[in-house]
Amino acid sequence: MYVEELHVKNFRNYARLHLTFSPGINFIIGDNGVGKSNILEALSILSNIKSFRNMHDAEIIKWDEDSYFCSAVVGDNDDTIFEVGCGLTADAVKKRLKIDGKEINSAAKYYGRLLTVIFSPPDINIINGTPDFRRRFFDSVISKIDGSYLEALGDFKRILSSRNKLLKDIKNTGRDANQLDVWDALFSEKAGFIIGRRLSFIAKFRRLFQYHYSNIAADEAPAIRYQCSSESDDSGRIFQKLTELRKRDILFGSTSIGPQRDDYILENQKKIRFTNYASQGQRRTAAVTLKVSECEIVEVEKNKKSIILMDDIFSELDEKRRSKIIDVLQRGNQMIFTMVHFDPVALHRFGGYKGFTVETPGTVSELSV
Amino acid sequence: MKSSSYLDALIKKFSKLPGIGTKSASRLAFHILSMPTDEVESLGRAMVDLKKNTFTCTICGGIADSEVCAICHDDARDRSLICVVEDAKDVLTIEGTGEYRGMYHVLAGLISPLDGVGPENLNLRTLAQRCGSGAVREVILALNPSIEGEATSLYLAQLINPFGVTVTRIAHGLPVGADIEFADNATIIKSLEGRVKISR
Repeated sequence: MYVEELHVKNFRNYARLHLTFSPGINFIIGDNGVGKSNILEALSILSNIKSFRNMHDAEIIKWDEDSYFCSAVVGDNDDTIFEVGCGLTADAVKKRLKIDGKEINSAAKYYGRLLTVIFSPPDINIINGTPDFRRRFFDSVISKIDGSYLEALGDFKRILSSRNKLLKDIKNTGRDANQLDVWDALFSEKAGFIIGRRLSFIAKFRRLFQYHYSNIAADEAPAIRYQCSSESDDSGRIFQKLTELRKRDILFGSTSIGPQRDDYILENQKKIRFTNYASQGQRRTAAVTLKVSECEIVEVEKNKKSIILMDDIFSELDEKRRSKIIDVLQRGNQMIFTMVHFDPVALHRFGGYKGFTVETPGTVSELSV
Repeated sequence: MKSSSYLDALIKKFSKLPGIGTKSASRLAFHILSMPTDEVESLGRAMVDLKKNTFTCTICGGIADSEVCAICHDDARDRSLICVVEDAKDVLTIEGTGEYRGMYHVLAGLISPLDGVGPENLNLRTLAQRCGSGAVREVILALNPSIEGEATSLYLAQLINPFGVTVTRIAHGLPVGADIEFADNATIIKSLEGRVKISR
């Protein structure tokens, strides 16, 4: 699929913006701080409902305004119009999602329709950061492929907070500990489902990742393993473990096992963690490879090509890896790059492309090439 | 818009009611202003009467004009069947079908640790008494399919189990008149789980 048109209103530094993209390669060129990435951010919100920069919606709304709006016309077999509107009231942020003018009231029904994969410098956190970054990355990919996974995650989060609240109440106000029984039953059922989906996903993803990693870099590709705190995806076993750990959980007021504690481990054949031996360059390669593999697995499972958004990623990699990545990705997907310097020599490999320049903050003009 | 302090006061009161914003509130207030005085008086009286003269039924927890509600009083109803609902509104909804002839039990809430509601805050003592009386054959759980509804259903199943009473739950899945083609995943999964045998 590809974005034909993007409209934004009161979004970051843009009061209004209307861009028409090429279904092939697009470059957005401009100095730091003029608003290149904001264009990608609008597309990522239209795709993922939230910003890839992990920002609150209130920060995305243009100064002195109380709402933003973005919409995109996306070509696939048919044109589809995606709209996200976000308004700020005194005590809450309200978001409205529409597809083809029809309001969609559940995230699980919206997410996974407009497929984008974003490559940006903070991707390195998936490798270097806390387990939370890895869970979030894999959760987002699995949810794209499987709407019931996203729904189960939502239910699970509510069950987990209910259980944790009850654990604290038992400790602090002497509530009857037997009240945990029903929450343990609900918890283990959802946890089993989520872990099961993660395990079968990672079994497929692992192979793609290793294949692409060895293609981009010459060194040994790390393996990805799911580290499961409950040691099983069987609901009965999880329930039993919760019962065994109940005293401890009450003492700490939190749940010690489950998908919320699990991690995805990258390691070499000798079981040494990737982060213990890998150089900065190797880590960057691994982060990029995760995204490349995401593109492919989504394409295989949904039979649709994702739109590739590249936020200033070229500045971080050497020329050899850069061209390898482009070779891997250039398979007919629409690509939108942001970059600081316009370098026609480096771009010659793309053949036809469309360029935009962002000059004084908030003004975009089309580049004639 | 400070034309009358009385008008403002009533608009404020109305807008505190569920589902009523300031616009509807002022429409209602102006409508009341245009009504004949005796009708306004009888409207006011009806509200006060409702509050003063209704009780919580000592058996089922529903709304009653005396200690025991009309449904619990009715000898023609099937006393071996109890339908458990979240609140008294649900009784009206199910009664509206005219199909159900059993009794009710109103929990007045659902177990929800995030809202600080535990089993001790629900109307459960009399439910246990009723189940233990030997007259009840089946308890139907008619709670919403939310996380809190599921947790409450599981809790009730545990609570009632020792009395040897059958516990059932209303079906979750495709709504009547809906098309499978347009149903979401969760609904289809629930429908498959709750499938019913039609032969052999």
